[in-house]
Amino acid sequence: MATKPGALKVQKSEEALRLSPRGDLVASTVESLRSGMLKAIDGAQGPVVLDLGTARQIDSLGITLTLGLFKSCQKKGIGFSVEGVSPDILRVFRLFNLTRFFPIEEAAK
Amino acid sequence: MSSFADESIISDFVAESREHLSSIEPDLLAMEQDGAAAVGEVINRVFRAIHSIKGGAGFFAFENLKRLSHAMESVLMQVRDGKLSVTPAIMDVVFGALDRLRAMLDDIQSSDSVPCEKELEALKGILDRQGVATGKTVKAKTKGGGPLFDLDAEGVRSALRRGMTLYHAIAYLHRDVRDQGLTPLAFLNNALSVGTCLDAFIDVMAIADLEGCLEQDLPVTLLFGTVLEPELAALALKLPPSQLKPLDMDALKKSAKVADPKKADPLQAPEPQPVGGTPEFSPVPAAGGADPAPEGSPEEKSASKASREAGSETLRVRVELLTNLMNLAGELVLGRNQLMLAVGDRRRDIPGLNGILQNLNQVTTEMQEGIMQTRMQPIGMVFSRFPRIIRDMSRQLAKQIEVQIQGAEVEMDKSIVELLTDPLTHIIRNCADHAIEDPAERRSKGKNPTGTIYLDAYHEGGQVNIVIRDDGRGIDPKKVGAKAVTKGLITQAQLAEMSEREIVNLVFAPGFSMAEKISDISGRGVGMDVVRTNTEKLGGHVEMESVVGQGTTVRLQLPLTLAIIPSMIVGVSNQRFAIPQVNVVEFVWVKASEVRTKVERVQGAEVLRLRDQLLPLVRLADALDLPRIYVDPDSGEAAEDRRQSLADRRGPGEGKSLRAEDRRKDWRSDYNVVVLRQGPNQFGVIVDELFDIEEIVVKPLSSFLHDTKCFSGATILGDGRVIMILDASGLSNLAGLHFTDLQAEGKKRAEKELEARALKASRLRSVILFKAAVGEHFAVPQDKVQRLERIQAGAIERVGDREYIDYRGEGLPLIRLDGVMEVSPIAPGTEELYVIIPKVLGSESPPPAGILISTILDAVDVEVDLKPVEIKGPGLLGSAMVQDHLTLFLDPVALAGSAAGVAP
Repeated sequence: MATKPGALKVQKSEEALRLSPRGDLVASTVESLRSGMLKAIDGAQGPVVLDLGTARQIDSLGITLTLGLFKSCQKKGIGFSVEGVSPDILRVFRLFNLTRFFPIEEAAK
Repeated sequence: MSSFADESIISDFVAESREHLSSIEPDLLAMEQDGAAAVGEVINRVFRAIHSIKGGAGFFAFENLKRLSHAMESVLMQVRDGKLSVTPAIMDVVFGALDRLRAMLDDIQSSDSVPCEKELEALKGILDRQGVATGKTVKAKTKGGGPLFDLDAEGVRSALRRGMTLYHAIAYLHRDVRDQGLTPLAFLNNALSVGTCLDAFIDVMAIADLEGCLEQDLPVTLLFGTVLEPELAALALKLPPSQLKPLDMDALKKSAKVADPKKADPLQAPEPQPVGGTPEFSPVPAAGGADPAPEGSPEEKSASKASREAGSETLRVRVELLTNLMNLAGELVLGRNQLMLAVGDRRRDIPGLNGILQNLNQVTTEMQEGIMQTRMQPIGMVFSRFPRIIRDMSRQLAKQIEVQIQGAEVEMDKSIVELLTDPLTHIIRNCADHAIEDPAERRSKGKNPTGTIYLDAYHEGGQVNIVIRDDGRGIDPKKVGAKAVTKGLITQAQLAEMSEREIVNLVFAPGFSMAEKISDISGRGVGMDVVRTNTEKLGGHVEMESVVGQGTTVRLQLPLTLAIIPSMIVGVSNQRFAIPQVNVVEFVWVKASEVRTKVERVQGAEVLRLRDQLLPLVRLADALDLPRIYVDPDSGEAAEDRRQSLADRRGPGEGKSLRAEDRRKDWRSDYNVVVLRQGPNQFGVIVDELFDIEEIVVKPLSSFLHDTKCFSGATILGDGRVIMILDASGLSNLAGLHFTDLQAEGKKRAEKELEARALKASRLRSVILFKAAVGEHFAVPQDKVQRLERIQAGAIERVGDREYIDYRGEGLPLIRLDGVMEVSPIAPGTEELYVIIPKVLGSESPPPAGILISTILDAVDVEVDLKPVEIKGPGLLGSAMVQDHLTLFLDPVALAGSAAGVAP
């Protein structure tokens, strides 16, 4: 189970591969998250869901990481979506029009 | 804004739009609650209202208002057409936009500077997910040729109309954002603070995959509008100038069909159209959908017809005009009163005059009431805000709360309704935040997981009562008390003297807060203080009661109107003042002879004892620095009263003819005390005269008198006299009254008095005084005597050395006092004697013996301390001086029992 910032919780189900980073997507966490994501999606065949339920902030590297994951999924021909997005992160995604590329779902209040 | 637009037309548009927003909020809540089952008419009503606002905004060229209402309309259209299900998340966005529209309407002329990008983005996000294009596009390119962009036509027009230049800017996420110490959100917020963002996108193609993505510095393209020149724009965006290029504005203007605002001829402005008509721009959705509500659609026509029909029944009138009419009606009432007074008894001297005056009187009264009625508004105007507030807070706090409203139709003056908004909102928010428990806690307490806040308004005694009740956790007086002590609002000693109700009402004290931490919702300790202050400013009062575990009730009592209020007219030092009746608790007439018992001193100040309570006393003359007047009981002449104490009954000069005792009883030395209410406290005001209760027309104070806090206004009496209206709170502050100290002292004194009464009761005895022999006086307690029998000496029978009488068919032994103690015998030859039959407690058996005496003197109440006596004998209690005689007190029960015990 993911317990510290930068850790990645991976849940596989029939529907999707759910990746839940612990904490924010910022410079201090992206490197370890990337390693975890690379391992997790290796061999993935179903859609990938990035669950940002515990993230409150995202910086430039966090956006880059998200887009990197999206591109990897795209390459593999599998679906990609983001869920549990906080209002601030959602604002960034919307302002950058990332909704054009993949579905983004706001966190339930 | 269109230059031809008349202020009054805009004002009408704003008023109409506000009404639309108020009316659709309950409909939106119903839509959220009912979801797909929401009645079509409800959705259409909301839709029409937003469409109407959009139309007006377009007509008057309020760009932000138009853009936002247009986006809302698009979302609502999806709902109406069944393409979008209503969810709390979607309603959050719609309500947020509604609030923003309201903010724009609050200052319509500055509405274009009200930021609404966040709301627009959120609405756009909903539409994006629905796959709805939000408007038609125009092509844009940089000067000198560059890549082509598709921009939203509406956004481009809006920016151009505001004189903005559009730029194509590139920012690199690492170099221009991260390395500048910015987050992407901060970067974007900074950009939006100096302009508007028409489009932004990241070059996703620049990234290959997850493997090497973090090293990639991704470019973000912004299509950005600002009034700044290129150098300044680059500086503001914190970008190198080389990364900012202006778009080809001439081409854009042509493409967007927008005239240069600098060259615009006011005479070429569009033809005026009625409010709610076709908007200036009605973009056709690119997705091929029709305009949400095309002009002339059946529903639109139906709405217009309804509007026209309603228009024939109602008329929109400016509040200012009504206020003026109200003032004039007030003047007319005063004129009528003066005329009536001036004509007086002579009205019958002129034939027909009496009838004319009666008619004038009647018409004036009706007109005044009618005009007042025009300013009356239902309290529901305030109440209707709360379901929405509670809905938002429920979501924010993860609680389940419902609001139940009663009495929304109760009407009050517009000014009061408006001023009530803040206090009631504070109370409601506190209920939701602090009082109502979360569902799990409520379930564990056996309560319905949904908490309820009840709002009720009703008329009572010419006033309006508003009750806010919740079924939450209640307020624990112990916690409130402890907090109040911690915050230094009261001392521990004061707390010990307070009732639970008084403690609970400490929440109205300035600076009091039970919240452990300050949140967005509450916890700064200003809310409830504001509630009380504002309520009192309105001439009302507020109080709270609470039962732990069951809930809290807050009651506000308010006048119907601030313009005409019933007031008590009082006189002091030959001047008159008005006291609003809402502040008056009661009148107390302190007779001159009672001053010494009813007026006490606490810490040097005079207080009135009223039903075990001590009320601070204020002499109105002293508080207002007026010379006190004393009316001489002998001559009836008025002179300056220099007496310092109320209990001082001396006349103002020497050579008085009345003795002190007479003066104390003279009615001209009586005091009139008006007991006033100030929040939870009461105090007495001593006045010289009490006149009548009158409906007075409140006139605002001149600015010269604004600093005199003890007056809340002025009025004109029927005789033309201008008098001041006293403010209870101001008067109390002026006199420097300290209620908490006094309450504690009052309780102490009451307790002491109770002890004294108990002590007195223990010393007070009801006794029968008698004699056995001449010169020796005895007493027996009445409660120990069953009966006194008068007998003749011949009725005594002797058996040996014992004596008996026949008592109810049995022989009752008799005791002679001189036979059991060293006292004188009954004089021989006394024919008429008495027998004291002692009470036999708790038994039906006959008394053991009777006590033979010679004379009964009296039956009296005496307060004595018994002293021991040297004489020995059974039942001897002691001795005391009664009626100037040494009297031996006997216990007849003990005496008879003892004597019977030695009898054979």
